[in-house]
Formats: sequence, C-alpha cells, structure tokens
Amino acid sequence: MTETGASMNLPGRAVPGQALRRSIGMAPALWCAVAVAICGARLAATAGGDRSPAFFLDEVEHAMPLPVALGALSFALLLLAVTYGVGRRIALRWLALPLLLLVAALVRAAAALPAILSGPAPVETGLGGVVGPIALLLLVEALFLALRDERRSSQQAILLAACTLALSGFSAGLAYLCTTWFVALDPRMILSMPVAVLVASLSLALMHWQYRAGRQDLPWKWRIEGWLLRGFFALCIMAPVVCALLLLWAVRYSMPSPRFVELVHLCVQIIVSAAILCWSWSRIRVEMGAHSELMGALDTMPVALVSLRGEIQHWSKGCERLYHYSAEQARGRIKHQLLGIDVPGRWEGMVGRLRAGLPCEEEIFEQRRDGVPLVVLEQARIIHRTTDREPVILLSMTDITARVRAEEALRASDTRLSLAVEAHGIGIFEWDAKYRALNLSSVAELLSDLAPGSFRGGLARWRRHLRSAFDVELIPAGGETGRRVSSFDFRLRRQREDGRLCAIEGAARCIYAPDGRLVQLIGVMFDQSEREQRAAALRERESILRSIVRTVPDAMISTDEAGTIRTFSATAEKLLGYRESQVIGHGIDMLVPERHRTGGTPLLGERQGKSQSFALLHRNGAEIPVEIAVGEAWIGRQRIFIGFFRDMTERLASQTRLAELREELIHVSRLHAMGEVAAGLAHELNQPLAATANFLGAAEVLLEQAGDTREQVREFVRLAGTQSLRAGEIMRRMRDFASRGPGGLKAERLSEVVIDAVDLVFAGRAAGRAAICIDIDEAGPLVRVDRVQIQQVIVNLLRNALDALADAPDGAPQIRIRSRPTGRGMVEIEVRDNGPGFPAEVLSRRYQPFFSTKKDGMGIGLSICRRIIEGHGGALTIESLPGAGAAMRFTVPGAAAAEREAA
Amino acid sequence: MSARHLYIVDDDDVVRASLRGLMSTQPGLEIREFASGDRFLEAMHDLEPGCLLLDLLMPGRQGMEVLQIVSRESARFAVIMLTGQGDIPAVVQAMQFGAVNFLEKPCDHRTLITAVNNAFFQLQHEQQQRMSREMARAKLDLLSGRELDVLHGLIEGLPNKLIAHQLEISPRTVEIYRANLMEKLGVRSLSEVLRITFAAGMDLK
Repeated sequence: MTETGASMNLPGRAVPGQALRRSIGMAPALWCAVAVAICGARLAATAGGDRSPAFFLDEVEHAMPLPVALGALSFALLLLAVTYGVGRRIALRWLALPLLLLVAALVRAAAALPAILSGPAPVETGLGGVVGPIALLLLVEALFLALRDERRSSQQAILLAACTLALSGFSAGLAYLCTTWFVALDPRMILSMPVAVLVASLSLALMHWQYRAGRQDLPWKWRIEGWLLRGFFALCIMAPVVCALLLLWAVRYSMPSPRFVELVHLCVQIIVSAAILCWSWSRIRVEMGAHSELMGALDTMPVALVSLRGEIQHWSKGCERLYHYSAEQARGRIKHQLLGIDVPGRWEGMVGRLRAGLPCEEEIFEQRRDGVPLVVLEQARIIHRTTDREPVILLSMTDITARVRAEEALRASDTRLSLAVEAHGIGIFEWDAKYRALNLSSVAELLSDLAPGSFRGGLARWRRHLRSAFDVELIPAGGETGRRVSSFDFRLRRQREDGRLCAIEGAARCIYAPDGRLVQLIGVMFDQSEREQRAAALRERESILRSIVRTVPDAMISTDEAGTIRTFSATAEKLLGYRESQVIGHGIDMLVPERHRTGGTPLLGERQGKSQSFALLHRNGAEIPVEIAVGEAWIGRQRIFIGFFRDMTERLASQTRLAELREELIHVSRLHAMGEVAAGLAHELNQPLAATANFLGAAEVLLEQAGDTREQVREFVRLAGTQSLRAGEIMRRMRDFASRGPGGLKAERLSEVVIDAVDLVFAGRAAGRAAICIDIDEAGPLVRVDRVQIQQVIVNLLRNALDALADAPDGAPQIRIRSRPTGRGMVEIEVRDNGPGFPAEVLSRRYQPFFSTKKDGMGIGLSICRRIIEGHGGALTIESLPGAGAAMRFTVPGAAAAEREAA
Repeated sequence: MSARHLYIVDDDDVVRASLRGLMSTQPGLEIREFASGDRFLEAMHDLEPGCLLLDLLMPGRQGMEVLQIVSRESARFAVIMLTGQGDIPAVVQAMQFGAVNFLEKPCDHRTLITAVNNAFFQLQHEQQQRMSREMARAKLDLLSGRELDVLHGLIEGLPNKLIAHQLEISPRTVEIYRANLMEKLGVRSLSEVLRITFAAGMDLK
C-alpha cells in the first residue's frame, strides 16, 4: 500500500532507536520468509518422497496436507509482495489463488472428517486437517479486509489475525504437551506443529504490516478498546472462572463428556487470549502512533537542547532547516560559537538568569551555515532532570529576520515618507478616537497658523482654531455621525498680514466604527498659496492683456504664413464691417485693395518692422487708410504674423483740419503783417506828411494874407498841400484795409480757441523741452472774438514764449496758459513762461514796429497782437519778471452762454 | 480880448515847427511847444487857460493818458487830439475823455485852423458859463436855510400851501420867505429865480 511506503520513511531518522524500527519494518517479510521456508520444507519432503520411507511421508502428509502447503505458500508470497508495494488491485486479484487452494484442502479434509471423528483418538495432532485450512482462510479474509481501503476493515483484519495467532499459539503449545498429560482434548481438534508455526508467522506478518499501515491515523471512534473494554474485557476476566465452574459441574455430574467440556474450555481460553492480544496490540499501535506524531511535529520546530556550557545535545529538524547545519554536524558543538556572532558574557548571563528562575527571551544575531545573517528570538528554559544529572537548557528559536527586516524597511520607508512630506511642505494630521489624541505634524501646525510644537489639545480644539482663523468647518456636515463621509477635501483661505493670500488645501479620510461613530481621521494638507497667487497673477495678466487688446484702438488681425486669417479682433470687426466668422480661414487678400495684394506670399510678413501707411477694404468696398505695424510670433513650429491696423481716417481728417486752420491763420497773419507794415509806414510817413501839409498850409495862408498876386505860386502851394494830404489819405486807406479790426465777432468757447492755437503751434514741431499746461476749464468762459485773430495772438505769444525758453539754458521750461474773468465782462488770458524774461530795452520798444531782437524777425508780432486785441476792445500787457519769466496777458470781451447758442 | 494861448505837444520837432508855423499865421495866438506829454503835465498848473494840440503817440505818457489827466485836473484846456493812426476806438475814447476834436495827420490846414478857433470859442463860452454860474452861486449863498427850503419847493413847482405843509409852517410865512428871497436875488418874477438857480448848476436833490 502507498501509505506503507510513506509511513516507513516518515518518522525515521530523527527518532532514537532507528535501527530497531527499521528491523521492525522488515518484520512482515521475515515472518513471510519463515512461512515460505516451512512450506518449502513440506514440499521438498513430498518431492523427495520415493527416497524416504512411507511412514515418514505419511507423517508429513498428516502434519501438513499438500493443498494447505501450496495455499499457505501462495498466500505468504502474496503478502510479501504486498508489503513490498505491489498494487492493491493486483493483490486482490491474486488472492483468489490461495483461496481456491485452501478451499480445496478444506473440502478434502471435510470429506475425511466423519471417519476421523468416529475413529479412536489418535496420538498425532492435526489429523483432522480442517482447522489448518480454516485458520488460513481466516488469514486470507483478513488480508482481503486489509486490502480494502477502509479503516474499519483494517481493524477487523487485525482482529482476525489476532485470533489466528492465538489459535496457532495454543495449538503449538498443546501439540507439544497434549500427548503427555492433557488427554481430554482430542488431538485432531488442534493444529499440527508446522501448520501452527506457519499460521503464527503469517498472522504476525499481517498484523505487523497492518500496524505500520494503520499507524498514521488515530481513529478513536473505531478504537477497539471502546467496546472491547466495556464488553469483552469483563467477559475475558470472567471467562476462566466460568470455564472452571463448567469443568467442575461436568466432572461432578459427568453430564456431557469431559472431552466436550475441555473443548469449550479450550475455546474460551483461545478467545480470551486473542482478545487481550488484539487489545494490547491496538493499544500499542495507537500509543506509538500518537507518540510518533507528536515527536514528528515537535521535531519540525527549531528547538535545541543544550548543556549549561552550551553544548548541543539535541538538534531538531527545525533547527536544521533554520541554520542549515544537520544534526550530526551540530551535535556536541557549542551553540553560540557554532552560529557565529558571540557576545562575550551573554551566554553566562543567560544561564545565570535561568538559574535564578527568571524567564529568558532575547533577540540575537546569528549566522546561518552559508553565512546569511539571521535575527532570532531565542527563548530559553532550564529543564531540571534527576538530581544526579546536570540540567539542560531548552532553547526555542524563532526566526524573526523577515519581521525585523520588514520592520526596518517600514521604519526606513516611514522616515523617507516623513522626509518627503516635510520637504514638500505637506502637513499630516491624525486623530484617533481611541486615544483621544490629535497628531499634528509641524508642517500641519505651520499651515494651520500655529507655531510649531505649540498646539495642545484634541480635534475639537483644532477645529475651533480653524473656525476662528480661517472660518472653515473642517469636517463637513454629517461627517461625524449619521451620514458617512468616507473622505473629504477642505480649503483654508486667509489674507496674511502682508496682504498676500494664504491658501491651503487638504484632504482627509474618515474611518467609522460599525455603529457609525467617527473613530479615526487621517489627512494631509499643503500650501497652495504660491500656486493660487500665480494663478491669480496669471488671471490678472490675462485680463489686462485682454483689456489691452480690447481697448487698443488698433484692429488686430493675425495670419499664418500663407496669409490665412487666424484671428480677427473686435476692433477689426468694427473697422472693416466683417464678422469674425466671415473672415477666419480666408486669405487676408480679401481685406486688401487690389494694389496691395500679393497673391499668396506672406502679405504681413513683408511689412514687418516699423509702421507704414497701408489701406484696408471695408466690407462696403470703401478704402480705409490705416497705419500697419506687424509683429511675428512662433506658435509651436508655425509662424504667425500679427498685424495692428490703426485707422488713420480721423487722423488724416484732423491733419486736414489743422492744415486748413494754419492756412487761414497764415492768410490772416499775412494780411495783418501787411497792415502792420502799413501802420508802421503810416506812422513814420504821416509825421513828415503832416509837417509838409502844415508848412504848405502856412505858406498858403501867408501868401493870402500878403495879398500876393502871383496866383500861380499860390495855386502850386495849394496843390502841393493837396498832394501831401492825398498821400496821407492813401496811407490811411492802406492801413484801414489791413486792420479792418475784427471781422465777424462770435461767441466762442475759450478753451477750444486756446487748444486749437496750441495744436497749431505744436502740430508742426516738437514741443521741445517745454511742458505746456493749459489751465482753462473746458466748460469755461465764452468769449466774443474773431476766432482766427485771437488764435493768431495766442500763436504769436506762444512762439515768443517758446523762443524765449529755447534761449534759456536750463531749468524745466514750462508754459502756462490760464484765464480769469476781470471786471466789466472781460476775460483775461495769460501766457506765462519761466524763461529769462524780456530785456529792458525790448520792453520799452515792445510795440514799436520793425523793432526785433530776432535775426529774421520783422518786429511786428507784438504790435499786430496789440492791434488785434485793441480791435476787440481789450488790452495787451506784457510783464517781465526778471529771472522768473515773462507774463503776457490780454483781455477779450466775454459772452453770455445764450449768445453762443444764438450764434 | 486877451491873448489866446495855444500849446503844442508832439515828440516830432518838425511837426511841432510846422504847426507853430501854420498857427502863427493866425492873429492873437500865443504858442508854446512841449516835446512830450510829461513836460506839459509838469508845466500845466502854471499855464494860462488855452487850447492844446496833443499828439497821440509819444514816448513816455501817451496822448490818451495825458488827455485823461488834463480833463480830470482842470477845465481850463480845450484839447484837440492829433494822430497819424486814428481808429474808431481811439476816437471814441478821446471823446469820452473830453477831447473837443480828433484830427488825423496829415489834415487840411483850414480844418486845423477852424478846429483851433472852435476850440477857443468853446473855451471862451465855457468860461462865460462858468462865470455866470459863479455869480448865481454867489447870489444863492446869500439865502438863509429856510429861504433855500422854500426855493426848493418853488423849483419843484409846488403851490405855497403845499410848501407850508411840507415845512410845517404857515402859508403866510412862506409868502414872507418867498418875498425875502426874491429881494435878495434881485429879481421880480419866479422865472428869473429859476434861471439863476439853474445857472448856478445847483443840485437840488
């Protein structure tokens, strides 16, 4: 059987008495060999029959008939084969052979039985020959049961084998004895000596084999002791007494034959012996099994017995596995030396503690045979034996290398984690309801606005702090009980003292007890301020950019290299009348007049660099003058051109307007200049003319008074006087023509007049260093003036001021124009500069025509101004503030608001 | 008639000389020249009443300014403005300041002579007026306070009874005051009383 092989290997080597056990394992074969030998001897006797006397042959035939011998031989061989592992099915099939042979022997013996019983009692035993085949058939039955793979049948097989063993024992004993003193028993009823030995050896073989086979399990349910002890054991004890009583009763009354009584007695004895044998056998079998199991189990533990010096006495299989030293190698060595790493004094200390009765358990470092270091938890106990023997120490080792390594790895990873967590500014908090403790890492304290290490208290206190500092409820509603929230996020936001935003994000995990109570909370938090600030800055910049793009008055169109429009700003929509969707994806040529089209080449790309004049086509076909500025950008590997188009229509219009204004001014100032020249001439010429006229008049009067009769002389003097008057008249007409005084006086807004004049001055030239400051309310006074003439005055005054400032070496040149109302409905306008002021010489001759300090000046500017202002009924005054500049003031009549509306 | 005084104020020597030449043809004229307005103003208070030919454009104080001062300080001078660059605003201003005439240079000598004569005539007329006014004032100064009150009432054309009522005196007393004042003024009718009163330029209010 398969279990046989396994059981033979298993307990083996570690248990003491190994050789004995091995020989016991061989026992069934031994017994079988004995049986085969007996049968062989019988058959040999038959074979050599003709050489032997007949008497001997008869003796042999009588002791063991031939079929019995053949049956027994085949059975013995079969059993031998089975013990050496022949398959169960094959064995069952071959079992038919001994069965047939033994049945045949039984039939033959049974046929001869009546004759034998009726005959006189022979001296020879086993004459009947019936008992031998029956006993052998019982063994066949036992083997059959044993081969059936059932526990119960195994027990029954042992029982049958025990019975045959007992029978054979008795038979052998009686066959030896009955011929001398136990006459009562018919010798034919018992086995002959050879058959008894044969049956005994086969029974032993079978039992032994079954003992090995059934040793593995401990089927207490099927143990024989149960019913045997309770029932038959009592019967077995009572049986000899009952037998003795029966024998006495039979002897006294001679009722049955004494032979029958002996027979019954014999049977009872056999049964009792068989029962005891069977019980003890099974008992031993069970004990041995249990013991072996226990030993085997214990032996797998790493346990060693050492002497007080540390010498190894027992080395379990567990130790072999742990240290890779076999028992042979380990035995007799000092353990702490064998396994390396010996801390001096440790062993002695341990022994001392053990002797003092203290428990001893420690973690030690040892080395395996192949040098691998081990961490071992060693428990030691002292075992006191009989007083004359020295006590031993039982060492029980537990390999905790893996655990220690795992712990170390865990600790290392824990350290790494906490390092990473600290380095990344991640705060961790843990709360456990069991310990009522809140664990805040130092980063978590910092993040929640607490000084590191300062926080004391539990979850509730922390939540209160968060509420007061950040106005945040840490655990969402229902998180503590009731509705379970497996995890939640939270955000802490606060304005720092320095005004920056502090934003902290976190997440936590909730663990609940089965009754719904929150029992554990684990969370992390980290500072997101920088990211938030960056995001805010980005948003801000984006919105600024967007608003710039929106507010920049330039239309923005971007194209790719092929000239396909990619973006089209809102301003562009307004400028060109197209919707964005109508032009995106089209070529930019559609927006460009014929002459600017390039037909595919990058239109914008060619115009990169400084701004130039360009034109775009409105949707209605009108051409819009624009100024174009092109930038280039790379998006990925694509080249993008961004064109800014500034609508020049208005600027051109304003330029035109300014040009017209200037034209008008130039015309007027030319007239004025002529008038001024005329006026100057008139002044200069009128004096001599007046003198001439006076002299001539005097001459005429004198001639008249003298009664001079030279009519021709008087006439000439009169004509000369008339001509001088005519010259004066010509001068007057010329002057009147030039300085007709203000043309159409209209109510004008003073600020507009002034600003236009300032534009005129600065339109053509850079303002230079001078800052100009117009301090006139735009909704300020209305004046009744000839706009162009007054502008001419302002232009003249500004030019004077600018020239004065240009001469000024340093300082912050400034021109200030302001107005104030004076009495009698006049408005005064002041043009003040911070130049050097007028030299005294200039100031005294300021209105004199043809007096100028300028190289190319005619010297009529101020006199024109004065004339214009006086023409308006105002006055022009010039004040020089030496070192502080010059103030030129003039007054013009104010006008009522209604007047302007009327105009 | 005593000598007529003519003052010429002009910065141009030749013009001054020509004016003197022209004006000296006229009889009974005493002519004095000043090269600038300032000089004339300095000497003004020592001068006899007379006519003034004043140039508009001069160094120092301008003609218009001189005119203003002269007409403010004294009524003894009749001023004729002479200018080479007359324009309407200047004319208007000169008239406002009391110039009797405004002439543009060069002008016909007859116009100038006529203007000067007119000026003297006007000056003389004013002088007579002023004299009669001073005589009338002297007469009025003789009246007592009550008599003046009654005179006021007469000027306003009130009947005696009403005057008596206003002054809270009897009509009879009014009669007496009226007779007294007529006697003091040396007149016989009410119309004569009124003529003297108006000649005195009496401010009745």
